[in-house]
Amino acid sequence: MFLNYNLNTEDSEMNELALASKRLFDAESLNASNFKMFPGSSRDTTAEQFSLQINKVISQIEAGDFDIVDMDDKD
Amino acid sequence: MENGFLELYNYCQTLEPVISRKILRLKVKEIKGTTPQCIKTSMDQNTSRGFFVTADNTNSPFAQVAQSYGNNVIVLARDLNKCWERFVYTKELMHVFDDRNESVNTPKKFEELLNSFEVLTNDQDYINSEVVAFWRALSCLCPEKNRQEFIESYNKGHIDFYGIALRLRIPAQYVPSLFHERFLERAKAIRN
Repeated sequence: MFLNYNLNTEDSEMNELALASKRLFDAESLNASNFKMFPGSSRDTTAEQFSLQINKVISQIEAGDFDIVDMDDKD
Repeated sequence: MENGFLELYNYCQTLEPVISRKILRLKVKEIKGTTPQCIKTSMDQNTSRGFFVTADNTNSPFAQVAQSYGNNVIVLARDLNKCWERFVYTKELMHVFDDRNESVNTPKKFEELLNSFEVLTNDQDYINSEVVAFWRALSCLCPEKNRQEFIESYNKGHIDFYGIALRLRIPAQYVPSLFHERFLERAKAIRN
């Protein structure tokens, strides 16, 4: 019995943007009143690729996978 | 509308490089009453180097990181070198001065923002705020008197872009922007 995944590539790409939007802006999620970002070195990153990264970061933070930066010690 | 950035800018003009993030953070706290929490996590730097988020659902795990920080969080990529970490932090810090029109707070604006990084110009305030924050960060990390000195030294052949980057502790790729013929105009525009 094999599970037959029939993912439509276009749908799966759109899912990352929709997912990131919900995770950022839904009232029951972050309810973000502002979101800004510093892009990376690639100059042809799509909205879906950005969203994939954002979703990963949100998951990491919600799982406690982050370090607090002590700004009192920062030059 | 006066949003406090002018006060930060004027304060930075009294400082000498290297202008520390600690000093910037303390001044922002004095002006705005709060300053963002700063955290690091793993991030693909080809895609992104950092984020600024105001998370208003204080029950969310993400927002709990930002409690006591005005719900604001700056997220940095874990493996940035010092110069990149300084600049990304400072640019994201400038977003504490975003007003409502400059805020990305809906899915539609969010999608437009993500698509805007390939587009050189955009009329929307919430897209332009990214560019504004860039120039604000530069103008705070490099006081005008030092910028003029660097230009003079460079034109005399006494320093190169890499040397300027080291003096300011910013990524070398942003040093040419200090020489932009409209730097002051852009700095004045964002100050006003």
